[in-house]
Amino acid sequence: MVELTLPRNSKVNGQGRTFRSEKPDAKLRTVKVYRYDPSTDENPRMDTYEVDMTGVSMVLDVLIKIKSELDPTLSFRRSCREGVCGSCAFNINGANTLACTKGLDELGDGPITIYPLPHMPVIRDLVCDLSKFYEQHAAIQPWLQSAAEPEGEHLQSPEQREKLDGLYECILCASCSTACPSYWWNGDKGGDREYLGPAALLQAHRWIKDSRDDETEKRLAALDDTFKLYRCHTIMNCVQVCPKGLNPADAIAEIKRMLVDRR
Amino acid sequence: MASKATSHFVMQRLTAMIQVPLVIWLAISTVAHARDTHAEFMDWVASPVTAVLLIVLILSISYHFRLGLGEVADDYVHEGGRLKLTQGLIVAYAAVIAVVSLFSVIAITLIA
Repeated sequence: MVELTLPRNSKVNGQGRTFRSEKPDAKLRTVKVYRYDPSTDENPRMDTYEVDMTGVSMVLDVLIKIKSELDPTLSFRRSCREGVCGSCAFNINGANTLACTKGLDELGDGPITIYPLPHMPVIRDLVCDLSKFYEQHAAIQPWLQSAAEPEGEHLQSPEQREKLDGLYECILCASCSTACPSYWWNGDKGGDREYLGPAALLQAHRWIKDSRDDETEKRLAALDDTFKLYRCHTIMNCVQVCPKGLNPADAIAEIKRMLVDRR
Repeated sequence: MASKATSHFVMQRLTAMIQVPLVIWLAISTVAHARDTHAEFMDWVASPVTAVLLIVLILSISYHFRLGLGEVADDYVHEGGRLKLTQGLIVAYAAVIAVVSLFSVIAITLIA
C-alpha cells in the first residue's frame, strides 16, 4: 500500500539548534531550515536562524547568508541565482519554488520555513536525490528524432515555433513533479507501473508538438499507459507551483486529447 | 490503435456525460412523483421510457463506479497480487449492484 506517514527515521525530531546574528542594529527575521546528516544516526531536525535581513531580497540570499555568517555546515544546491538553472528548488513556506526568484516580500512577515522538495530521498539538508526524476525525463527521449538530414538547420515556420512556447522554457527544477500527490504515490514504483510526473510529461509534449520531429506516433504510443500518463488526475499543484509560470496540466491534457483523437 | 488506458479514460468520461442528464431527470421525476401512491409510482417505473432510462442509468453508474474505484486502487494499492484482488472485488461489487438494480427494474416492469 501507499505510505501515508514518514518512516520512523525520517521524522523531524524536536532537537533543532538556534543561531542568531550578533550584529548590533540587525533587522532580524526567523528562518527555519530542515537539516539532515546521513552520516549520523540522528533523525532530521529543524534548525532556527535569526538572520539579519539588511541588504537581502531573495530567499537564496538568506540561505547564502546563513551559510556564510551563521552555519557553514548547511548544504543546498544553487548556481545561476536567476531562475535559469533550476538548482535551488525547495519547499518554501509550504510551496515548491526557486529560492533565487522567491522574494522575501512575497512571504509575509512571519518566519520562513524551508524544506527540501517533498517526497524525494534526501542526500543532506536541502539536497535531494533527483536521479529518478532525471531517469523519467530521459524515458521520454527528449531529443529531436527525424529521418530528414537537411544540409543546414531543420527549418520551422514562426507559427510552428510558436507552438513550443510554454513548453521549451522548463528548467527541470522538479518543483512541479514533487508537488504532485499522484507523483508522490506513483512516481517511484519502478518498472512499468510508474507515473512519469508533470515535468517529464511537459517535455514529452514539447517534442510531440515540435514540427521538426517525425516520431509523434511513437512518442504517443509510449505514453498510452495507465501509469506513465493516466495517473494525472488534474490536481493542478504543478501549475500552482511552477516558478516559470508554465502549465504542465494543460500539456498532459493535450497529450490525452491527442491519444483520444488517435483511436 | 487505442490501448486499454485510453479506452478507460474515454469510457470514464462517456459514462459521466451520460449520467448528467439522467441524474437530473431522475431527481426531477422523483420529486414530481413524491406524492404518488406506491401503485402509481410502480406504474411510473414500469412505463417503457422510465424503465429504459433507468436501465441505461444503472448500467452507466455501475460501469463508472467500477472504473472510478479501479483508478483509486491503481493509485494506492501497489503490490501486484493485492491490486489484482482489489480490482477483482471492485468488478464483483459493481456487477452485484448492476444485477440487483436491473432485476428490480425488470421485476417492477413485469409485475406492474
